[in-house]
Amino acid sequence: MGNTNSHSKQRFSFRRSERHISSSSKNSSSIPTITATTRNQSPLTTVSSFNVHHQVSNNAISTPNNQEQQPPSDVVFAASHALVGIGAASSSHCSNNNQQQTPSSPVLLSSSMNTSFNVFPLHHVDSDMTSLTSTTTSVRNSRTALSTSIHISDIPTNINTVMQISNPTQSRASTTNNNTTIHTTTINNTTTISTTNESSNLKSRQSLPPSTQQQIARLQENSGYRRSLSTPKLSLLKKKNVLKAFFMLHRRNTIDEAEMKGEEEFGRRVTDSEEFISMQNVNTPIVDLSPSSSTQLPQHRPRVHSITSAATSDSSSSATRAGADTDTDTTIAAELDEKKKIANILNKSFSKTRTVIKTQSHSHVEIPSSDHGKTPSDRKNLERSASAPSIMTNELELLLRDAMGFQLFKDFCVAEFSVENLNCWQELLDMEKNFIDMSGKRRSKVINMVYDKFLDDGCSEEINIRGKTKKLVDTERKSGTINLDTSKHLLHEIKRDLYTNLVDSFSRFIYTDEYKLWHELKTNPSNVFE
Amino acid sequence: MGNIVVSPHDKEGQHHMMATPTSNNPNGGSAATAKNKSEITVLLLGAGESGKSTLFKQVQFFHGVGITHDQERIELIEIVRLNVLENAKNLVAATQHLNIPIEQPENRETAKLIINSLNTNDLEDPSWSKRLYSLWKDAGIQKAYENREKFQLYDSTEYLFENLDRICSDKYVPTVVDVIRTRTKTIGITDMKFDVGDGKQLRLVDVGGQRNERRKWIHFFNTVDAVVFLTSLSEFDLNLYEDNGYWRVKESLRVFNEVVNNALFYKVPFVLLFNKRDLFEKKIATKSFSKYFSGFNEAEEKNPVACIEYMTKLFLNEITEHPLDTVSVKTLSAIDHDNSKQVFEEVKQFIMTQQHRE
Repeated sequence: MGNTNSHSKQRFSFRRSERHISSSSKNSSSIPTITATTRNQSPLTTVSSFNVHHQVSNNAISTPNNQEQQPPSDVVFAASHALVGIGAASSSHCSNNNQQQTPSSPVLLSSSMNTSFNVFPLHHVDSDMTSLTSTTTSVRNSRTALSTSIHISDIPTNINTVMQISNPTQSRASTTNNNTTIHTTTINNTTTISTTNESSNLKSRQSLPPSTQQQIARLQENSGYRRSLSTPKLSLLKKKNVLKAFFMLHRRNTIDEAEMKGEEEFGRRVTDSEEFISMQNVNTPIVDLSPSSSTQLPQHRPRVHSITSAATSDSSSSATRAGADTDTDTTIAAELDEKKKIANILNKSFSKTRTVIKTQSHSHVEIPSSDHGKTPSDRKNLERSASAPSIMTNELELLLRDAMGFQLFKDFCVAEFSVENLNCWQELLDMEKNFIDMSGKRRSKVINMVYDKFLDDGCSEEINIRGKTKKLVDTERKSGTINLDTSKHLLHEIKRDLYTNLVDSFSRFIYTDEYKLWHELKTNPSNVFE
Repeated sequence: MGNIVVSPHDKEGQHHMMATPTSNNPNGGSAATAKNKSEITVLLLGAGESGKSTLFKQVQFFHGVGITHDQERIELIEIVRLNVLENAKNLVAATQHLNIPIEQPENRETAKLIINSLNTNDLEDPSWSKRLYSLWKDAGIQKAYENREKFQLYDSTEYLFENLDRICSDKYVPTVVDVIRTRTKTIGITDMKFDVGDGKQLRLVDVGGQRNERRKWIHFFNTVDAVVFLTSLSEFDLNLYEDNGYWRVKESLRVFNEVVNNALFYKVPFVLLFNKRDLFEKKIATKSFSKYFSGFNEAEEKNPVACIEYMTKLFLNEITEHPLDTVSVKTLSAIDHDNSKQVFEEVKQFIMTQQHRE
């Protein structure tokens, strides 16, 4: 911002000219241009400063200064990841209750988080994040009191999860186990900073207030985890992850007692090998985190583990990766005898799940994106919206309907920083089903909620949509009451844009091993074991 | 970093700047170790539709990975066809919006179908090739196309419509050019590694350019060895995708300012690429360039070199912090394979020499 004055002089003629070109230059030069840098680097000194930022961004809806608020929104981003993680879990809870009845679901994030929280309470993060959350929620007053309380109680644990996921990648060199490292991450930042490879930038900020350091550390931890993007070649390790997710999903559908027995056996085996892998791979065994929980609550494992290994296999050197693979090999070899048994169980349980998936997709038929099985009147409704996403690809549609596919895709999107689209997509689906029973006022409220959460400038989970769509929703939401047709039209418009976003992520997801294996499982499950 | 002046009202900024000297040492340290590092991370940055992903795809192509392989491109059939549909829809919507009637009745029928029910699978039917092409050639659609600065339309439109006979066929396999010409709005951040010889790997990071996507860039700012900033020359008459009332050039300048003056990039080689030179030269032949830049000499507005020089000045004026000797400016036509290969080689050389100098 150095020579701001001379700088603007140099551009003066240019600025003047643009005024008559862009009609809405109201959001223009009057804003002091603070570089993203300044704020990026400048840590959030206190939570309250963040609060101010956020409210500013909320008030100045038409101001495109989200760049200047990067760090706060990032914190919110992390926080809202937690929010939506929970939201998604609960919503999937609604949509496929027959799958979710037992608590052993890998999708049911909240349960896993609660446990890790119990095992491993983080007081600092806890208090910190609670205030942060209340900020978020107070900004969005449209939220109900109920959801607020849920968020406050759950967020810290989620952050905890994120840290425990990201930690192995960064602190490989340190010999401390996960437990201690995380502990120091949150309570005493200095230790973490010294053990973390990539936080060289942080060192300098040790003089900053501890709350700031924590926040930076959190950001750093986040980015550290997410930095491992590129997908390695199909390793046995990954294959196992997918399989594990698959098993966890299907355990619940198996009623046959004999199968149950076999599966339980297998479940234990999976957990065991998992411990093994994570110990070999990560040096910082996650198992140490909750020594008792690994047997009691095997359902937590797949999620945590899959991310850990994805991160590890990428960021660790090829030598260690090779080592890890051999380790997996031995594990796999140990399981060789089981293979046939497993394949049997899988085949049986799979045919069951297929029906489950079928019924599930029936409940989703009301989605405007799929035209199949629509009554003529429904179709008419559809045709009202000039741009309903009638172009849904079969594969993407299938993927989104399948719980495991959805979860795998979601993990991929998280790694690519594009999970807000999926979150929004899911929320819209759930919402749409209920629109018919709502009053106009309620619909308006719901649309407003969507706008605040996903569309508003600088909001935590802003999705990438056309300005036109945003404007349309913005004008409609102010009317106070929205009739059914309009609300459907609005959702169509958003979903059309969302769909193109999902397709972009999907176009890369199809090259990942997760997708390939998922696809293989869907088409020919027994092949995976041959 | 003593030469940094912070606007006085920016208290937080001051706080940060006080922390800067220390924060730069480890940063410099990481740059020094970069010499020995086998991996070079290059960020492709820029506002929306500046051609980041196009360049990304080109680099894939001439490194013989990714879209070079047929089976990878087969997976992208959907994307190409989706692009055709999106373009068609946008054009039809524009005729309504701009009050330009579609002239032929049968084209109006086609337009209705496109808006309401057409999906990508339908495009396997070769008959759609004729129908869509006839729609494209309709006087109304062509008129809307001439006014495309008034709405959002991909640059790929003309190319895709001219190649409909290939695309609308059940045997269609996208060519490399098809994939490169296809516009997909990048969501999130993606990366790819390439071997560049000397046992070194180049890690190219491609990002989304719209406002909300830019907030995600920060996650990569710490691990950067070079930044390639792209901006579109041909955007001077266009408004933003995410905000229809905001001029793209202004946005590009703003983003450039924020990135180039970022303290994390002080010691990082910085390349500014003016992309879409081909489109730009076509555009200024029919459109007035000086209408958009009052400081520009009107007599020179048909001269692309003068226009580009002016744009270069505009952008370089934004640099307040970054040392100018580590900034390189080039023009590029990313859809042109040879040109982008040559430019990328130059960029690579520039980055390497800058790193050796460290």
